[in-house]
Amino acid sequence: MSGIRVSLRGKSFPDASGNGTRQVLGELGFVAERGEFVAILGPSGCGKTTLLNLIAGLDAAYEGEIALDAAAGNAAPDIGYVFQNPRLLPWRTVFENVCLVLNAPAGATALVEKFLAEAGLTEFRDAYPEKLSLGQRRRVAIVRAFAIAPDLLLMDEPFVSLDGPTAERLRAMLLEIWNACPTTVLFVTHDLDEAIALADRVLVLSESPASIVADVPIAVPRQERMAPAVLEEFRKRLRQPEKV
Amino acid sequence: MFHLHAIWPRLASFFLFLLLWQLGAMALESRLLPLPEAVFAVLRDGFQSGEIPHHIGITLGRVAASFVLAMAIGSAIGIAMGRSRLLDRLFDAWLVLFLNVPALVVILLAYVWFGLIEAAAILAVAVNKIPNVAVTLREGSRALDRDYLEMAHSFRLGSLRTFRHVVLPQLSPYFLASARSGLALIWKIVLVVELLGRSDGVGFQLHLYFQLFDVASILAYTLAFVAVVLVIEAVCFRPLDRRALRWRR
Repeated sequence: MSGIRVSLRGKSFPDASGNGTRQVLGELGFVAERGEFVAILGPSGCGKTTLLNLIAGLDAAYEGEIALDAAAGNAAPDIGYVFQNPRLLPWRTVFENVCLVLNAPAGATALVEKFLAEAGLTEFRDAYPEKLSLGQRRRVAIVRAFAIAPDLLLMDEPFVSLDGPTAERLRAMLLEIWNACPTTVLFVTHDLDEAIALADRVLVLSESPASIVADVPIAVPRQERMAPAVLEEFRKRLRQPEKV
Repeated sequence: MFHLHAIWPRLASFFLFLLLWQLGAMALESRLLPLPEAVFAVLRDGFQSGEIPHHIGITLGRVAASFVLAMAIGSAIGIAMGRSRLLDRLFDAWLVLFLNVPALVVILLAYVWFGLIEAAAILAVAVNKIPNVAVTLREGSRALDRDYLEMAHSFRLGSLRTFRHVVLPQLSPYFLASARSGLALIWKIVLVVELLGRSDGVGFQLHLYFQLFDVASILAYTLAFVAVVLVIEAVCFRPLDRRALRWRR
């Protein structure tokens, strides 16, 4: 498990015309403690995915610093990434997709079987991803990310475009696995209620170029958060900064 | 695999072909278009004496060697050029040049420079095919899906696992396409190479019978060799196709 400290001065992309640049992320800094579940909430297009890609090391062209404190005896922290589109390899079965990312596949397959069972995917173990529904593919992607016992788990709107009850079930499953295998989570979403339901703390991003406009701890046990009064209270506090 | 309803049109088309040939040969009554039965007699004798299998075996050996060489070198060049913009810019013109050098020129130069030896023959055939393989595989590696490569990178799969599980499966349709067209191209060029500078193989035999104006023997060798290539297509490429595509809905 690994904490993370982000202090960005900015991140720009070449703009569409090719001769200028478009700043996506502004001055942006936060710290996530070990084992903390942090939701990053922001309007679509504000650079949330870009932020996760920088943290995942997919893009090294930025100004500032991103530091993960490696867990003891582990040189480089392992990062699990649940993409918005599940990105399962269509030419590998569910089981092969999960085993592929393991560092020591030999001993860990039993654990993969256990995870798949917990996610209700045992009967799809040998199916190819195209045979699965979107919700099932998302579950496989979550299992894959947890299978490497990540020091840091990045999740990019993993439940977007699912119907309400399915998204609800997947959120419950996520919390269950996370409780069993605790790790630091950065969870990007544009859904206020989802952030309130899942996170220990919610960071609210502004429109692009994004910076943090609010940092709201959700200091209420998870099972009590869906009470209308509590929900309304946090909604208000999270919406507030967007008006400013 | 062979269902009757699927195979009868093929059989019918085969017998129609034979019938037209028979009628044409009967109408012409010429030594230059022998009857099918004369060709089949030559085939039978050739197989009984072992002459036809011997030469087909030698030609197939050359086809296999130059095929493997061309696929390996062409794929390496194509993948490298597809992945690196610098290499692509540097060598794109070379690729166009080699694509347009006539097969005959390559063969003649190979024999002139390296002598009438086996290695020169195989090299000449491979050089003719390499640019085609490279162009196809370059297309394939340009079309690699960035999403999967990012996934591989963030889960730190390393280059070996990424290549085997992420890159190769995406390239396999391109491998198969260039292997298919490669086989068809290579065996025709091998015949030319044999005709020009070898003393055995189907191409050499065809040249021999050409000088004797023995059309029945020429047709017998052609039929036998085409049959072998069709068998290779059926037993090698179709199962590979099915295997490569089994994950599709």
